[in-house]
Amino acid sequence: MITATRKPMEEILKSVEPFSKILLLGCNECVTVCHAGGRKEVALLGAALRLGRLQKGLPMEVEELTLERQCDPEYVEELSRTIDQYDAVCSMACGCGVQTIAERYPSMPVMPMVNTAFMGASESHGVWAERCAGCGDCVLGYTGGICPVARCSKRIFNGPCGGSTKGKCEISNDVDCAWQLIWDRLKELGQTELYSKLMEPKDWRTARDGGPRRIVREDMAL
Amino acid sequence: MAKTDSPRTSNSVLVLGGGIAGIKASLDLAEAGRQVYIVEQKPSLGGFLPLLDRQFPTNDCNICYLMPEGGASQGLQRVHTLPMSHLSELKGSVGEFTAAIETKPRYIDTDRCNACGACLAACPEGAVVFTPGLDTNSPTCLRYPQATPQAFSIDMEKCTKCGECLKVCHPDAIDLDMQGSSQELEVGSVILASGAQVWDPTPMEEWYGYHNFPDVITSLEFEQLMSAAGPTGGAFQRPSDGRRPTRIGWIQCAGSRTTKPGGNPYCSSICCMISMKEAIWALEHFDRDIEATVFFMDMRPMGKDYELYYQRAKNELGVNFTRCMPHTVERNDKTGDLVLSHLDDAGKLQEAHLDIIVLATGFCAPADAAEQAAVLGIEMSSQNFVAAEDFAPVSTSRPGVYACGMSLGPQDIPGSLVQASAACGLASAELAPPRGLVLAESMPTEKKITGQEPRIGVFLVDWGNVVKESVDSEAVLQAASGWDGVVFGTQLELAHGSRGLDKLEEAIAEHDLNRVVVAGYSPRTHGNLFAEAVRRAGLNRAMLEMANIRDQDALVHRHDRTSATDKAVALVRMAVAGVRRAQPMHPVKLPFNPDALVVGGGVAGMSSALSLAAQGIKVYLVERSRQLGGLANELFRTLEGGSVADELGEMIAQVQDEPNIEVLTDTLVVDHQGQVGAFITGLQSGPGMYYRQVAHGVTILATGAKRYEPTEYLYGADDRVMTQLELEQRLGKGEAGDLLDTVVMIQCVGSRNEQNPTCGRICCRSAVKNALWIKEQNPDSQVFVLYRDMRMPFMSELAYRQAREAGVLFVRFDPSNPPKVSQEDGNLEVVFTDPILDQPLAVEPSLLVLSTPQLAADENTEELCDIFRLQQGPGGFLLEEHPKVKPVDTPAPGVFAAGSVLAPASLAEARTQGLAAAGRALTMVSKLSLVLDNPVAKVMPERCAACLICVRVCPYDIPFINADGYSEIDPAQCLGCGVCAAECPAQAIQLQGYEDDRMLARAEALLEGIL
Amino acid sequence: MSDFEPVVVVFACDYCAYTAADVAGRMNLEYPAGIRIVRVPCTGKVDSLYVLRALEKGADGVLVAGCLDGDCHFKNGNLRAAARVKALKRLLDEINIGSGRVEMVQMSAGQGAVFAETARNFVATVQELGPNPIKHAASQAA
Repeated sequence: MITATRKPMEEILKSVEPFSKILLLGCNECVTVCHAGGRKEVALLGAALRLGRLQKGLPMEVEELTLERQCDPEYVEELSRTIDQYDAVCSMACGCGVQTIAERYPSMPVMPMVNTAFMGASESHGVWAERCAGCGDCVLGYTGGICPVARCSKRIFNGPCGGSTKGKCEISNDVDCAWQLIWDRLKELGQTELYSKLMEPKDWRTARDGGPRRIVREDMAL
Repeated sequence: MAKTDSPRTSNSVLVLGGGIAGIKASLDLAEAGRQVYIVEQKPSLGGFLPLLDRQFPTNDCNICYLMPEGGASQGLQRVHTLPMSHLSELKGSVGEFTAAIETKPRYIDTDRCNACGACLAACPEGAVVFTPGLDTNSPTCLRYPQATPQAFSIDMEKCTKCGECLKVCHPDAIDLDMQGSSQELEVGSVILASGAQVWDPTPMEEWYGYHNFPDVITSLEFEQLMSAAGPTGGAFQRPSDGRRPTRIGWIQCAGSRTTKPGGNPYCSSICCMISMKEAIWALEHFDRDIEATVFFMDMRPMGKDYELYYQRAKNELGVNFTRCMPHTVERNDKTGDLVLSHLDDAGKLQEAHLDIIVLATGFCAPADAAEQAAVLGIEMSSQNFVAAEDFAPVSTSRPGVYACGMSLGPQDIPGSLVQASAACGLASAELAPPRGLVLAESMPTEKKITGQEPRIGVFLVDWGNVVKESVDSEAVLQAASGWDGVVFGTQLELAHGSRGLDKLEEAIAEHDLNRVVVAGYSPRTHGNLFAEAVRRAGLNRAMLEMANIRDQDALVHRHDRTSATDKAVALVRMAVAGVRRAQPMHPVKLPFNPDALVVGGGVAGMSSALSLAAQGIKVYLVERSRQLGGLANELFRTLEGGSVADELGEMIAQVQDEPNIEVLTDTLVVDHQGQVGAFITGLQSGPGMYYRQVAHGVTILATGAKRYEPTEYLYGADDRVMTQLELEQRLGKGEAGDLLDTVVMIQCVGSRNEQNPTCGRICCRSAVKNALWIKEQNPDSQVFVLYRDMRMPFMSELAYRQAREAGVLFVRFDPSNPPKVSQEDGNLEVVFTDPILDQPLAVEPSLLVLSTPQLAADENTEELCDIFRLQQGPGGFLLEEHPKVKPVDTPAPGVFAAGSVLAPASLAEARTQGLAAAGRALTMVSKLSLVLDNPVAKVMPERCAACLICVRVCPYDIPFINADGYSEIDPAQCLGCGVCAAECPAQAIQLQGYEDDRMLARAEALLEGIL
Repeated sequence: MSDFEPVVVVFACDYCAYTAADVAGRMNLEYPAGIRIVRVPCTGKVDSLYVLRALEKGADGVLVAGCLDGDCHFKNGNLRAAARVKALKRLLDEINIGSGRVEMVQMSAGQGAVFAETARNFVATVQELGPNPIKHAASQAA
């Protein structure tokens, strides 16, 4: 899932300063699940925005709406008949949602209300942690199901660096050394031979280094 | 006389005593569809409970669960409270008793009194009484505002008939010439729950200095001293000079375990826990500079896991414990100190200087116990408690008369509650078979109002003039008349006891109202009353909203009529906004399979099965082994000398002969599904592991415990080393003869240590039983019992004394220096330190007996918990729903537990718990259908993002993501707290009655006009 | 003291604070009339949104009043509420409404005196803070 957190109110208030009527737009997918931009967060931010603006003596109208998914054009199309009445759309979706809105409604300012953080998993109630960096060339099969790209601070590929101490990463004691985890899991699996196998330098072109990426499924194209 | 085969027709039970045991018995019976009369001598119910602020071992207040209003909503109307009354005669026999009841004049009509308090304020002599609860002179912490009945009374001994109270009583409830009354009640059975009284230390004041020194107080007085509602208003001051005490000492066994005149020979069982609770509380509330010391002979934390409480008090919370024989209390007139002289463990005289001494006074039978016993025609023990036996622990000598709570002897709340439920089970068997609850059949059908515009009626209700004195009612009605949807408004004059509600019903019909706001009393206290009226008028109960303009407005702002009126308008506006959005709520009604499954065929399980079968309920009794009886099969006799084998054999025969019980031995439970009223459990039987499923509505788990196999003290390596159970076998079969020359018993083997910190609870009693038996078989035997604390609750203390008198030597050892056992050249030797001589002694025993505990049957209990989705507590025993208030319920509705699966249990305890679990189960099976009417959380599937947040936050694990991929909440299980609704990020969950739009509308209406 | 009489919305749990408020009334204890109570089945039901909406509609302060630790009828609803109030306080500071306008308080059902005292103290605190800052703006806009 894509995770996000709400931007600081100061930044949000500054970004909506020029507007007097906005559409606050939530998304019922990832940002709902990670408590950043679902119906509930839309309602809370809506109330906070109205309060914050009233406090400054600059009342603002905030309409609240949550789409099923902001990153699909059909759902975004729902806005077409009403969008003109707003000065701006304030999106609580991830960056994908914000851009989908911006593309569909070129003349409408779209403000992000959340910082899109990472692709992560839920560790426990209220805790999300990064699990995937979207590098485009998955190696999890060789690394005991633990990703050295997303979970090693240095993204290195052939065992831990010198900063690994007692299973922790040198950047913080709260961060597990991914290579320690990989080693432990490989031992558990009886696959330690994978660890001794030298990994070739990674081709980062499938990651961001090759420029913006697309997936095209010709079999599906209409 | 008694025609046992005549059809039983009575559906009523008489409960004598309105303390916690009597209340629990009444609620369980009422919930099972029985009519109950509670006869209480005092003006209101409650007993000791409202005098206590906090309760061990949880140290929290559970009064709302225990008292009638919170205990059970269903069936309360079947409980008839007869305060200020007593039983004067009990004629007839089981199934058809006639009870003569005398009631003293209260001088206040409980139907009219609204407990406004005007008479209390007006009375110059202090003759108006209202206890427990709101009487600010009472020692209660005011945690419990709902006295039952909620009415004052007048103490005629103080009253001068000056008439001041008559002038201020608006409902006209006072009648100073009221006469007493008498009546006869037809009942099928009787439950005695008249409790005990606190022992009065006056006869022993020469030892304790009570009365002579004001700073010597009883434990109940100490609770008052610390209570915010007590005489010092919560300031912690000692009585003599108002100084803040820092050195507090508790003297245990004040008046208990003594042969001194004025004292009691038995142990009062719960004072150790009370003192520890008070000491912990004093440390927590009044800072750490307090030195809290408990002076004791043996610490006896007897209940489940109470040992852990003791260890925490001692090792973590800083309570000091001084083992000694307390002697006398003197006062040093120079320093004002109290000086407690006591003999320490080594027998030396010591002095302790203290600011306050708290006497841990025990309990004794009420002064009129013998008189009441004579009226009931039942036998009492030498101490004037009800004489009960291990296999008939809540029965009296008169058939159809049962007992529970402190009338059986001093005990804690869980013990009382278990006995109350047990007595209910037995008392029900004397009545007509349960018929199932009669639901509101006489009610008119509900009008369909969906799609209708709201037609709201606003009713201002006032008994007397309490609201009108502070609030301009006309102004409120005037304001309301202008609000959207309000079509009618009026003031309603009511007399208490619901007289006049018909006018409300008439108005609903006349003005075709579809929603109602009642402004006046709190919804908590009067919501049900008005909801019933609304229902009688053909509307759904949910079409009512209350505005609390009395307790939360008129009474608070009496000196500011303008503000009180403004606030009343806002509160009524909030109620109107809320009721406008009200949706009908329909109780969930589920068919209920009345059959029962009892797992475990020991004493507890058989007790449950027999009690249920006696009421015509089909019982599947599943036992893992080949024979019934469980651990009790290995016992020969009870502490009192009764034969276990005879009683057990009779019980097994009864079970086997009972047509309603299907016994399945050699059978395992392998799976379990469904919910209360509709369980399906898979069983595997016999060597072929034949699988079958049984359908049942309730489940009782009584799978027992296992014996600890000692690894200590050469057990297994030397034939002369054995456990108490093995010794009992030998003694019972007469095979111990030549071993009995010199016997050493070691207590706490395998308990109260690091591996097993809990107390075995019954091993002390086993040791004393066997020691006495040895002396009986061979008076020349030398018997040593090496112990840490002798835990001999209540009357078993007498056996302990008897053993010492018979020459059994009890020698205490410290866990840091346990006895040492060795064997050389075939000679067994035990070395232990005598605390008085402070020297090691060596004994060469012919027999070494280890007192070992029952342990949780690890794999079995774990498996059981897995199958029934329950949890294990410390030590691996099954965790009950609540150790204090629901000791035989489990967190899974419809699943109960009894016996040593919960904690090591004596025979009497196992039997009582077995009966209690049956009594609790009866409250459910008698209903034939299960009606659930609390608000529940509803999921809007189209909004649900299946994020799992509700699944994670629900305190009861009710929501789950269903096969369609959205959250589902079973209305039959949801308890309506609303946590899931508040956390759902998609606003996909709404709690009935508290839907988001309704809550926001309420808040907005409340604040309308401010901006 | 100023003439300012704060309006405070109290979201009160039925099992404790709501009952305590009833008890306060029956004990004839006084507290300011600006205290206005909304009944909830458990403070765990108090949505952060209710608190913000109350402030938006002009309340000068909001109390979330639940059971003592360990006493929650529903195990831990009061702790959930306390955590939410903590987060709300941060948000209110961020938008310059002030964290002091919202508090979580705890009491047991019989503690009428505690309810009254808590109500008085909180009203005094809010008096110090002054009126809800949005009121000024609202009156100007009007």
